[in-house]
Amino acid sequence: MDKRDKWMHKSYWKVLGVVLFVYVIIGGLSTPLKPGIANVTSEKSLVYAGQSFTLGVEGYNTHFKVDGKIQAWLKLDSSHFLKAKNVEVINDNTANLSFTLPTISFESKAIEGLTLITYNEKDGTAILPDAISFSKPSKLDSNITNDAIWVSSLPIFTQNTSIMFPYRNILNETIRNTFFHVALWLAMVIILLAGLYHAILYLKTRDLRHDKLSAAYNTSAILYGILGLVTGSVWAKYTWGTWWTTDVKLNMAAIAMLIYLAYFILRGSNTDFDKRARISAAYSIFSFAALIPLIFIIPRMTASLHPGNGGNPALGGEDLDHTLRLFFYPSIISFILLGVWMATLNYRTEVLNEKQQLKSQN
Amino acid sequence: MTVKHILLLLKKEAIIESRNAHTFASIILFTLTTVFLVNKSFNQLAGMQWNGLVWIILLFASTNSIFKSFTPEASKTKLYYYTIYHPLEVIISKLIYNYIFSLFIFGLTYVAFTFFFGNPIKDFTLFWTASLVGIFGISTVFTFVAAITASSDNGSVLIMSVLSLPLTLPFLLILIKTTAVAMRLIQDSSVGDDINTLIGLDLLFLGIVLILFNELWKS
Repeated sequence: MDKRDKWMHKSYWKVLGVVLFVYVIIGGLSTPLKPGIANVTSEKSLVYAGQSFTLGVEGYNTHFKVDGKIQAWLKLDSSHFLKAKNVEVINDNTANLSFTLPTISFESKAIEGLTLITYNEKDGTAILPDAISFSKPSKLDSNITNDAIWVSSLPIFTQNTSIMFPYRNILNETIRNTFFHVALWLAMVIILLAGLYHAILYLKTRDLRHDKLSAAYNTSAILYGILGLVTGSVWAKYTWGTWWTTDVKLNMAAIAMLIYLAYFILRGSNTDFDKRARISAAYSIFSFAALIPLIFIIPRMTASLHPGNGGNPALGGEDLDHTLRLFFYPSIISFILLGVWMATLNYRTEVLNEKQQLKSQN
Repeated sequence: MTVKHILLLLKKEAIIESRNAHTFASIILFTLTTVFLVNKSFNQLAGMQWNGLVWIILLFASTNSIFKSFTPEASKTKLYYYTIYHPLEVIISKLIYNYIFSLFIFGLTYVAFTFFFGNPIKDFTLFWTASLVGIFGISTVFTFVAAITASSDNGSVLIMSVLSLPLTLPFLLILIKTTAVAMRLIQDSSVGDDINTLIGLDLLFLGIVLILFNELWKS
C-alpha cells in the first residue's frame, strides 16, 4: 500500500459524508414549507379606485381556521396599505377577503399590481405579489364615495420562527431540489478539479497512481453530472413544463457530458498503461478547459431560462434563505465526500486488479 | 526554436501534400460531393440552413483532412524529427498548416454554396472576421485531437470525431450565431463580445495545446 493512500482507509470522513447525506435527505425532505398564498381568485381582474371586490384566497400550509383572526392587506407601495374590510374564513386553506378601495386620486395613470399580505398568529405573514391589478385613475367618478383609506404602514407582526423553507410560487415543494440538483453540479465541478489536479501531477511525475486517481475522480464526477442532468430534468418538468428544452445551459451541460464520456472511450481504446495515462491526462486537461466556457461562459451570454444565466438570479436573495442554507451547504459537503469515497473505491479496485494481473502473469 | 525551422516544416508539409495529390484531391471531391448532395436534397436553402450546413460540412471535411496530418509519419520519421526539431516547432507548423488547410476547405465550401444556392450574407466584414477567428479555434482543436488519436493504439477517424466534435461545439455555436447576425437573420448589438469570446477561446485552447503537445510528442 502506498503511504499516501492512508487517508483512504480511514473511516471518519466517510462516516461524516453518510451522516450529512442522511441529515440532508431526512431534514431536507421533511421540513415543511412556510405558509404561503398559492392562488387568488377574483371576479375582476382590474380594479379602480372606489370599487369594492372580494378576493378568494387559496393558502398553502396555512392555518386560517386555528384562531380565525386573520388579517389581510393590499400593498400598493411602501407607504400605501389597505386593510381588508371583511374576512370570511372557509377552512384552513381558503378564505374570502373583501376590500373597498379608497377614492383618493393618484397623479400617475399607471396600472400597478397590488401585493396581498395575510397574517395570523400561527402562520405569520404570507405574501403574494401582483394578486390583483389596480388602475391608478387621474379622474374620479364623483358619485362614488366611501370612507376607506390607505394606511401608511403595517402593524408589527410576530413572525413564525420555526424552521421552514420559503414558499415560492411555481417552485412550491420542488425548492428542496436545491439540495440535490445544485449541490450535485457544485460537487461535480470540485471533483473534476481533483481529477484535473491528478492529471497535471501525472504529467509532472509520471506516477501511474495519479493516472488511476484522475480517472477515478473523473468517473465520480461524470456520475454526478448525469445525476445533475436527471434531477434538473425532473425540476424542469415541474417548473417549465417539459423534461428538456432547447435552453442553452441544458445543451451545454449535455455537451460537457459528451466530452467527458469521450474521455472514457479514449481510455478504453488504449491498452498500454503509460500511453493510456499520458493520452488521457492530456485529453482531460483539454476537456476541463473546454468545460469552463461551455458551462460558465456561453450560457451567461445568451438568453436562458435557467437561473444564473441571461440575467436571471441564481443563488442568493430570498431564494436561498437561512433555512435552505442549513441543508444546502451540508449537502454539497456530503456529495463531495461521497464522490471522493466512490473514487477511492474505484482506485483501490483498480490497484488490486493490477496486482492480481501481475500475480497471474508470474 | 526558430522561425526558420517552422518554415522548413511547413514546406515539408506542402511537399508531402503535393506528393500525395490524391488525398488532397479526395478532400476537395468530398467537399464538392457533399455540397452537391445538399443541393440535390434541399434544392433551395433558407438563410439559417445555409449557415448551419456550411459549418457542418467544414467540420466533417476538416476532421477527415486533419486526421491524416499526424498519421503518415512513421515512428522512425517521428524519432528523426524529435532529434532535430523542438516539439513547439512541430506543433506550430502543424497548427499553421491545418489552419490554412481548413480555411481552404471553408473557402471551397463557401464558393460552392454561393454557386448552388446564392449568397445570403449582408455584412461581409463580420462574416469573415468571425470565420477567420472561429476556424482557427476549430483547427486547433482538431490538430490536438489528431495528435492524441495518432498516438493512441486504435486511433481512427471515428475516435477522432467522437473526441473532437463535442470540443468544437463552443466555437460552432458562437460562429453560427455571429454569422447569422452577418446575414441579418437575427439582431444582436453585442456581436463584438462574441468575436472577443472566440478570440479568448482560441487563445485558451492554443495555450493548452502548446503546453500539452510536448507530453504527447515524447512517446
